[in-house]
This record gives sequence, structure tokens and C-alpha cells, in this order.
Amino acid sequence: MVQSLARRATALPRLALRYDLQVFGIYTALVIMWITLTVLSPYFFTGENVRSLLIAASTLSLIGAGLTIVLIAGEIDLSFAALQAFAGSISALLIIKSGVAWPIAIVIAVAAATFAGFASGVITIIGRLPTFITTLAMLGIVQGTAFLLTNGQPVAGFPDAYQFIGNQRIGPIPYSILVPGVIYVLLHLVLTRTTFGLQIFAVGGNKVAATRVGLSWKKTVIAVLALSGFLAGISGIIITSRLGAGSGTYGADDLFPAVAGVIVGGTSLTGGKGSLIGTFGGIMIIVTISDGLVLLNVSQFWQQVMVGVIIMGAVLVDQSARGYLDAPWLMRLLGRRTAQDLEG
Amino acid sequence: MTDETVGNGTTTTATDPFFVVRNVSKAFGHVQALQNVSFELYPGEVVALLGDNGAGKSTLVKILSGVYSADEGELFIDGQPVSIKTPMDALRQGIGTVYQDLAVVDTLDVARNIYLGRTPTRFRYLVDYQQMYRDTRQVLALLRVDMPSVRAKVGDLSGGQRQAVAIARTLAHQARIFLMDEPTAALGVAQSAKVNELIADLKSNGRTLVVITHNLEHVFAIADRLIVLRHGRRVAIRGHDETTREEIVGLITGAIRGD
Repeated sequence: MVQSLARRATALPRLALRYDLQVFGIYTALVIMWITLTVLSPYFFTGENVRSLLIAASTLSLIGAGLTIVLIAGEIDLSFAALQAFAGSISALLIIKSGVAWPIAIVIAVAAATFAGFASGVITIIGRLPTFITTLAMLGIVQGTAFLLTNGQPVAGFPDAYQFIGNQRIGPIPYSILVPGVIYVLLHLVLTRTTFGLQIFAVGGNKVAATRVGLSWKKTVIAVLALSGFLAGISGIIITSRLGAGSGTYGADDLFPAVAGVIVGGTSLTGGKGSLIGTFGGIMIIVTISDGLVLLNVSQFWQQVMVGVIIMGAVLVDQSARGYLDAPWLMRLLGRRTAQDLEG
Repeated sequence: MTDETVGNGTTTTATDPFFVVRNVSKAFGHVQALQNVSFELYPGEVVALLGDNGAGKSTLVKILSGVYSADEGELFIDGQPVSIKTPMDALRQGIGTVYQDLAVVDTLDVARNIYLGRTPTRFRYLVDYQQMYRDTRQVLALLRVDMPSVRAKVGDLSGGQRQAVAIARTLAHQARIFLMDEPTAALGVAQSAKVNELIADLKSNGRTLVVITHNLEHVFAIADRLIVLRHGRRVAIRGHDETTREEIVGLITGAIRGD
């Protein structure tokens, strides 16, 4: 009786803990930032600004989702941002230079990006290499290829139908938010509801234990890198459609903000932990910072400094959650248990 | 009697061996790790595997669990010859290993760990979490294990509780034989006692446990039969009541010659 009451009393905090205090903190921080910016700038909370924030967040969230899933599996992908430029350039070249029908071109471009991720995975496995190396090499290969394909110039002249995705809306919601949004929700369900999602968490949490019960680490690595490539391909198509041109540079600068958003979102660099809900919040924080600083007339360069500081804060929070901070006084201050407490 | 049972497997009863190891040998280069080792296992018994370092205990357990394959010899389950090439083969044949290192995924909760690789599903691909948490509570109740919650992260548990999760996983994989290498080596007194309780519970559930341990106190507390290896040969099989600690020590060290 007493026990069941006690259990009921702890049910609510447990619900809050389900997605981690860090995720809760992210959205709290986001709300505070939004309220502050609304007070500081009359332009911030207007339909147009919010829409442009969401558009910036939409493709970043898509590639951020890919990175999140790769990190949960205990690996890393450095090639996803360049893969956007790669896919965009391929579709531009096929449609504008070769006259291929745009739906076919999109399929080929996304398939090429997916294949690049798949190839990174296969080489990781057969070469027994860290994904840090294979995806760094892939970054160089696809970035260079994108410049070669476009001769370093933006290739413009898409048919209207192609630009539809990037520029049309259903009611107030642009397709370039809707399409990533739907994919994002589906990915969240895959990660949290399916055996594949569970396998990703298990392999990232403990490769050896997962392998012993028949969950293949190799298949998982290949699958998550291919998925990350696929998402970068879709994102690259949306970006080129929105801008009306393909280029080796479009999307290639997204590496830093995407990584920042994912880490701020509570995904652990050591594998086994992370969520797409957190990643979306983290990406929104990064996007809000850059938007807010522009509105407040602060130098663009401060943005990079601030994002860097936020990344450091986020990784320290992650380390403290696992009891890894080498500063007992700080751990006590945060009310965390140290690694020694956990062992004892 | 053993041979007859193996010959026409259909007559197996609860008191017949369901698992037979016959003339297993294994060499690593010039080192003969195991030589013509044979024994049987019966349902619901605890068998201690004893021997000095290098006697071949771990090699034998690794052959049973599919990590190594034997150079020679045969394994029979329910009278049928079986081939075990990987740990997954072993698990499918009902031979589960309770690993002492890297057995659990710290970042996953108790239920996900216990049903890792054997997750209940709906529509093939969706994890049936309701079923999983229900089954987990059942398995834990069966083992009389106290967990803070089936949703607790395994990384937050004590050593004994983590061991219990590893044992519960092997149970959830429907293993009939549990292979345990030094199950209490890393545990304190109270936690070791709990693991011994778990072993007794599994035994009364009709499971067979093969335990490697150096601790003779432990052996006599839990084992029904003792198998002694020396220099890769099986030198003795003794019932708990047929032997003494002195004899076992003598067999292990070679002071007493085996059978």
C-alpha cells in the first residue's frame, strides 16, 4: 500500500526524466531565448522571421538527425554537410546540363549521397578503420566532386516544378519545412519504436554485448552511415530547390552548426545516448542565436564564439551526467554522483 | 546407459543426460589444450568445472559457447549431434553464456538489456514495450531479484544487480545450459550470496549450470557434481557427497592420480 503510493508519487518525475533533464533544459533555454529576443527586437516574433528560422532549422535538423543516429551508434559522420552540396550539384547537372527529368534526377542524386554513406560504412568495416577517418576522406571526395561537377560556379536554371519544393507552401507552412518535418517524425519513431532503433542504441552503448546476442555491429555502422547520406541527399535537394541553383558550396558550411546543435541537444559523443527531440531543440538554439545576433546588430563573428562556448558547456554537462568530471567539488555542486560513487 | 540414450534419443527422461560431450580435443599450435574430454549434463544440476590455471577449463567453456570450435569430438543435445560454430549457434541450441565482462549495455535499461537480441515485437519491426516490461517483471520475479525499476539504466546498478541482469538475459533467451566463468569473482560477500541464490533458483527451475570457479568453498556450497581437469584431460567426475575437499585439491594439483 505504502509502496504503491510511493511508486505513484514518483511516476511524474520519472515521466519528466524519460527524455532526460538535459532535453528539458534545452527547451527551457530556448523559451527563455525566444522571450528575451521578443522583448529586445520587435521583428523577432513575426510570422516571417519565425518561418525563416524554421526553414533554416529544417534542413539542419535533417542532417542533424543523421548525425544524431550515427553518434548514438557510437560512430561519427563528418561527410554529411558536404554530401548536401554533392547531391545538389548532381541534381543540377543532370537537370540543367543533361536534361534529365527532375524526379529521376532527384532519385539519382539522393541515391548517390546514400551510396557515399554506404561506401564509408563498408570501407570502415573492411579496413577496420575509425569512421572519423573514413567519413573525413569521404568529405574530401564528395566536396571536391561537387566543385568539379559545377566547375566551382552555381549552376542555375531549374524548371519551376523543381523549385516548387523549396518555395511553395500549404497554407502557412512551406514544403521545405513540411517535408523535413514529416521525415523527422518518422525517424523519431524508427529510433524509439523499432527493433532497428533499439539495435542502434545497443551497438552504440556496448558493441561487444550487442554482438554477443546477434546484433551486428557491422550492419549497424553501414546502415546508419547510409541513412545519414540519404538524409543529406534529401536536404541537399531541398536547399538547391530553395536557392534555384546547385553549387559545391551550398550546404557545405552546415557542418559546424549541425554538430553544435546535435551536441547541445544532449547526444553523447561516446555512443548509446541521444534523441531527435533533443537534436531539434539544439538546432533551434543554434539557429535562434544566429538569427537573434543579426537582429541585435551583433557581429557575425560573435555568433561562432558563442556557439563554441555553448558546445563546451553542453559536453561538460554530458560528462557530469556520466560522473566523468575530474572535479569532485563541481560534481557535488551539481548534485551528481561521481564515478567512484557509482562503483561503490 | 549414456550411449543407449544417445543412440535413440527418443527415450530421454528427466534423469537422463540431455547434453553429451564426447572425446573433445583442441590444440593451439603445439599446445594440447584439451584431450579427449567427455562428460554429460543432466537437467537441473549445478556442475563445477575445476582445474589449475591452464588446465583447459576456459577452453572447454569457450568450445561449448561457440567461441572456439573443437578440433575433434562431438556434442549431442537430446540425442542429436549438434554443430556449434558461433555464440549465436550455441544460444539457439539452448547454451547461454553469462559473461563476466562487457555483458550488459550500461546506457540501456534493465528490460532492454534482458531482452537484447530477443525483443518482443508487433508487426515484426515494432518493439512491443508493454510485453517486454511485463516479461521482464516475470523473469525478475522468477529469479527473486530486486531492481529499483525495470526502467533503471543498467549503468546505475550495483555489481550484483548487473550480474542478475546478465543471468536474466540468458534465461530470457531460453537457455537450458548456463555457462558461468567465475560468476562471483568481482562481487562482495552479500552480492555473491545473491548470485548463489540465483544459481539455486535456476537449478530448481530445471536449468543446468556449468560454473568455473577457483573458490572451493563456493564449489561445495553450490555444486552437485565436480569435474576436474588437469593438463587438458578430464581426470575425475565426483558427486558432491562422494568426495572431500582434500581429494579435489589433490586431483587439481596432481597429488592424487585421476581415474
